[in-house]
Amino acid sequence: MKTETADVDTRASPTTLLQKEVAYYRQLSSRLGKDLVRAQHLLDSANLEIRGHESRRLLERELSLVAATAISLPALCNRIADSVIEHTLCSRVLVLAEDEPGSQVFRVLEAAGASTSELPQEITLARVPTFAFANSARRHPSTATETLKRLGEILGLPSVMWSYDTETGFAILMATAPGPAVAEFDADDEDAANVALERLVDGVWRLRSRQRHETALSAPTASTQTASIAAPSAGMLAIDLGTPTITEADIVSELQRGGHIAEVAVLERRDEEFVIFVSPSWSKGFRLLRKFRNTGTRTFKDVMRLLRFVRDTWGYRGSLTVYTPDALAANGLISVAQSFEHDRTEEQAA
Amino acid sequence: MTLARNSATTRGIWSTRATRIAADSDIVTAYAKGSHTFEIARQAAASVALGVQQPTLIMLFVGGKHAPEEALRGVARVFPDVPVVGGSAAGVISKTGFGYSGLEIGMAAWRRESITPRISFTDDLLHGEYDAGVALGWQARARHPDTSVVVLLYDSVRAEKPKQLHPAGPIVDGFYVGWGPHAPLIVGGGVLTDLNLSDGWIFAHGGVHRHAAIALSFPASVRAETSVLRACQPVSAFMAITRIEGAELFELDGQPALEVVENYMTQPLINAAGQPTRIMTLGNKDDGDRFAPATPNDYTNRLILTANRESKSVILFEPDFSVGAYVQLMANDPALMLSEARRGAQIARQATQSSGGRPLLRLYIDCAGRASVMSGTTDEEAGIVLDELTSGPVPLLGFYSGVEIAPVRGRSRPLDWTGVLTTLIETT
Repeated sequence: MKTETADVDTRASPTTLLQKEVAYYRQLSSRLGKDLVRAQHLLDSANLEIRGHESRRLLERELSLVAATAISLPALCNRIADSVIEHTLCSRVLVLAEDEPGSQVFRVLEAAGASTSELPQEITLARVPTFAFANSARRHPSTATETLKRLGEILGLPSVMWSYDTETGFAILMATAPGPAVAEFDADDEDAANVALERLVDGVWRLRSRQRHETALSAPTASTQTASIAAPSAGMLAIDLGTPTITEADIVSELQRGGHIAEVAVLERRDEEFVIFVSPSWSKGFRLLRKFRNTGTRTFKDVMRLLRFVRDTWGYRGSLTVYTPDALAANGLISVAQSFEHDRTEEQAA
Repeated sequence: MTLARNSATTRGIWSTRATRIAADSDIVTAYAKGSHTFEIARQAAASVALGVQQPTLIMLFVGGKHAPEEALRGVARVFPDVPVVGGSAAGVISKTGFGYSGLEIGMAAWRRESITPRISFTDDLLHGEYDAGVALGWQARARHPDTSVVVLLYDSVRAEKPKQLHPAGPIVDGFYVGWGPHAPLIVGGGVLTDLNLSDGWIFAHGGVHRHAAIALSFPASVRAETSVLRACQPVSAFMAITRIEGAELFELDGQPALEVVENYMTQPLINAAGQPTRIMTLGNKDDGDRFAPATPNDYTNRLILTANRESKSVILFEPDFSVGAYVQLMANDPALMLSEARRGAQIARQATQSSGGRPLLRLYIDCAGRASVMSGTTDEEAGIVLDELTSGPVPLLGFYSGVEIAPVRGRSRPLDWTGVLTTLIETT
């Protein structure tokens, strides 16, 4: 065979040979290109699968934190809806609740990706499934076909996912516009809707529990802690020298017992990060905010995040003053922050 | 040793010789994320107000899930009389965060009139992109004849069903004609509301406009350093375009274009909704010798927007390929994209360090297709760019775009699947 082929090549003209060679290499490059595209597609699919798992993990973690720390129902619903959109990249999320569990009449508590003014005040559903989804190929379960159609019409998108808690009457509705980045909902997406609903319900029970606790308390809850207060000179901020720091855990715990944050001061550092001082209702003077488990000072790189943290986590609605590192009024704050910053770096170095 | 260094750093944090954004930057940026549009926009503006009390101009990019009018209202609550330019964004990139959920808002505020661009505007793209570009170029020249850099932003989406884009090529060509000789360098991009190319809008003259474009002409004292970050490699032999009408490509080597492209794929190119199931690109090698060794920088790439199964054609992002041109199917190389992102950001940083001028702002116009959810990468390429640039003092604002515009071989032109990293520098 080898000799025959060689003979054929010898007899062909150089042009014919070159044409054959070009055709051969074109075919080869085409085949290699196809293999490359297919291999790339497999890799992309695997990476997207990993990304999907990572997103679900982050969603679950974030929602757990939201449920544990939200101070009010609107804040809870808002943060849950935003987190679901961020981690699933779906188009719209509604948080709904029945007026009375089992009434089948829902009100929209929160809408992300949709304007509440464009949504109906009340949504009445003939059947209320605990879980359902629709895409262009199917509606599941088949008994929820009409419900899914109605929900799709309300949100203006055909692919929707619904998760409902019969005990509390709360529900999560998600809708997506499928495209290159986001696929239509299918059964695999059940986790996201259920996690969001579970954390919502968890947060609702926590809030209700706190409300009951507050009602039960007849006397003011402020502790009688008598800390020494730094005597401020005119215009200086008062520091709680006895307990100059406070952890996030302390705050959450005291808020649950009915306390509130009276004042917040923010101190800007030279590295453009910000630290928070709070003056809580259960003690006097400003205290530096430390992390949940007191592992270091809580710092923020972004004032916007800081604002949201203060507003959403503690429900603080008062004014907030940002002090520069050279503000005279903030000398006491700087001293406290410096001393605890030093502690932290020594701990790290050790 | 470690302790000493850390302690020194700690002391430095509280030094009154602080170099703060508020005191030193001529452009202050802010980033926010959330679904309550008015409040988020107001908070972002309030954050900017910590650094600049009365800006001369605000550049605003708003995620597509927000109501744009609400965003303008939120900004106006803090800055009632400050002009706002910008538009929708499939995602926003900043030093303090980035994302493409559609809930992001990014903002840059100019502190000084002497570095503030002048605004030219058209909302006539629907009646012809070229003519609108001519009008824009003419206006821009009248406002700032000595400008050396123009930032051009336009609404990418002409129609959603069937999906049609406003091509950037005719806008840029028109701009050059409208301007005349000695045209400035143009950088910019097409704005989108989401990764699905659903819609787009532009902020200008206190309102929200569709089918619009704005040109920001900077004073002569401001120049730009631009890096184009690419990621495409050829995966086919050359194929001749044998039939094309505008952006609709019918035949390659005499074969139906859709069949040729799908021959390389494991699934159909478009789904039932007409959306591409995978980003595919055709590349045209720019230099004269198509058989010479090439790098990704030597290609003009055109993404496939959608396909027509009846005519077996594919529709490209831009209408600038013609019969007789040789193209290759291109594939995104994720590893190359990430390494190029790092390299490009490093080059940008070094270039501005040695520029001799005063860097004002980095503007990162990043193709939406480069987001990890689109390109299938394990890391976000925007995150890598930020890794390299966050520690520096120059503020940064970016957005995920439909098409990017940047200078290539001496002339600005539309680019697909690139990241355009521009640093505005005030000449001292």
